[in-house]
Amino acid sequence: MAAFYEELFKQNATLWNSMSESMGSLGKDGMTGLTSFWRESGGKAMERFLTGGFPGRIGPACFHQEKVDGAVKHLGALNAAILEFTAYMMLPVEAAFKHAVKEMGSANTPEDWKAFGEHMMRHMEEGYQGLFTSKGYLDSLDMLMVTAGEARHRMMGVGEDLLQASGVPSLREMDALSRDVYQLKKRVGALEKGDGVSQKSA
Amino acid sequence: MNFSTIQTAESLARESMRTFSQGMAYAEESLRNLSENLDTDIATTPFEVVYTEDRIRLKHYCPKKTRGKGLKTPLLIVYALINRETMLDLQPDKSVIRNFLEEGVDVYVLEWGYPMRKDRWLTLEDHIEGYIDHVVDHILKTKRLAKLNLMGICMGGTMGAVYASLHPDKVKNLITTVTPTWFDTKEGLLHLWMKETHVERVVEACGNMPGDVMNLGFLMLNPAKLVVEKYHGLMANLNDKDFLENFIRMEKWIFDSPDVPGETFLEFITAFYRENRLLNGSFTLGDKAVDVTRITMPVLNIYAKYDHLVPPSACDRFTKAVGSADVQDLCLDTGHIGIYVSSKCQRDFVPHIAGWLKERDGAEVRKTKGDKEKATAAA
Repeated sequence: MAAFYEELFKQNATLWNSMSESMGSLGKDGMTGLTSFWRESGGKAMERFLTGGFPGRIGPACFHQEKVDGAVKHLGALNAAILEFTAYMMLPVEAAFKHAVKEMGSANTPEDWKAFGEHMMRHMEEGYQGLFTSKGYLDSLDMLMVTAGEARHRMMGVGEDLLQASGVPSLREMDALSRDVYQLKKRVGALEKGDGVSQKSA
Repeated sequence: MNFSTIQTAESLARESMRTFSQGMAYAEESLRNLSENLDTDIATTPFEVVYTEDRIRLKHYCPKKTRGKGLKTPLLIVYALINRETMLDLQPDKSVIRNFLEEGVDVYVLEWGYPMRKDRWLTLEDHIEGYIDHVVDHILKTKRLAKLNLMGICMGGTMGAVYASLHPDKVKNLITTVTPTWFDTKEGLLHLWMKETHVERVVEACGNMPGDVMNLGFLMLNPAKLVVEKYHGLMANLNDKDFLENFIRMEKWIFDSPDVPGETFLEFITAFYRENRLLNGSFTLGDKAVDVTRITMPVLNIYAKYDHLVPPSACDRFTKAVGSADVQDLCLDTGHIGIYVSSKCQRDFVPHIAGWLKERDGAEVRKTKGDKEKATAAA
């Protein structure tokens, strides 16, 4: 068992080391596609783990259980998206620090530390401006929005079951109700306007 | 140990003592500032609420008695649905509202309030043909006037332009400030992000576009400056009471972000940011076609050279597209917010608008581009 964990930690360390190394170079990162990997393979593997190998949940609460499974799966995807997005956001910071270490290592120790700090800040700012227009970053930002929206939606679905069971109106029901009220208000407004016009013409 | 070594040690000790005393003085002043009651109130100019409807309020600021001649026509300011109009009255010495009042302008400000979940169904039409039109009618009825001056800020300017093209008979002069009207531009990250991401997923899940998500997005536009450098600057200036008060006022405004009604947000992003429909004439509000050539009143279009949210390329085509021949563009050397709050713009921004309005406050003579072309041909 100990050998298994040793091997697992070793593999993990190798993976993280390669990810950290790739974070240092803008545009040549190993993080791209992490979320799609999760969605395509990791999520599937996780689903099997969560369901204990059963094809689907069983029993009277099977639909609710499936909803919970779905929510967990989408939270996992959101987690992966956050990880990928954070890694992208760290790239300019990492690059700025590497630049600072290089400058200081070249024996040109700055006399004015404030100016040096500002120089590093500009370096970081430039890094961000380059990053923000890159395809990888845009994909990652998009994935973050999509997974965040989906995860929230699924979580609300789970909550709805519980609210329904306890007789409390859910957000979905309140949304439908507010939509009805909104449409009614519009119709009443239009009728009032029409009535005003007809009264004026009379 | 020789004499020069003793001298060096002595100067080092003196230098250390000097740095230490400076640090102690800084710490003492900072602690005194932080323990005092700081004046960080914003939007302190007195006003009267003259109209309310659902969540919106119409604020009226009465002009001060000025030595010069005031304006006969009132000015309605329509702010964006993002952030709050309190930015126009951030502090007494940096207040667009106070400056207008000193120029003798009768100012009305439309306050959008805080949309709740139930407001998610409200459309752009509800905001423009509903709320804006209702407050315009209220002002015109109260003042017994046929027209008023309309000033739009950022997204409020886009809504103002749509309103002016649908109701040219109610708007005497139109002022657009940092207003996006042309969305097919590669400048400005906001334009890129709105096109490349499925932001609608967030709206679908939350009902409205959460103000906190938008705030996070704005911080992400320049994290080095807005997350790191800004707070580093605060730490370096804790001993400066004025700096501290101004900083907190600005923070109060920045993070006071109401949500944007979901349907309105999606409509704005789809019709404008993704399909660029306003100036190419294909935008419809409800069942009404919006034609900017119907904007025949004088137009003053002000934008900022260093605006990272609404770049000049998103603003400078508007005056060429409208029907009016009396148009003016003004590009100021500042950023999106600096136009309203920077000390330099306090001297230029309001006086320029007030002067421009005063020149057009009398009897109205509308000149369209068609009239101008005819006159040129006749000459």
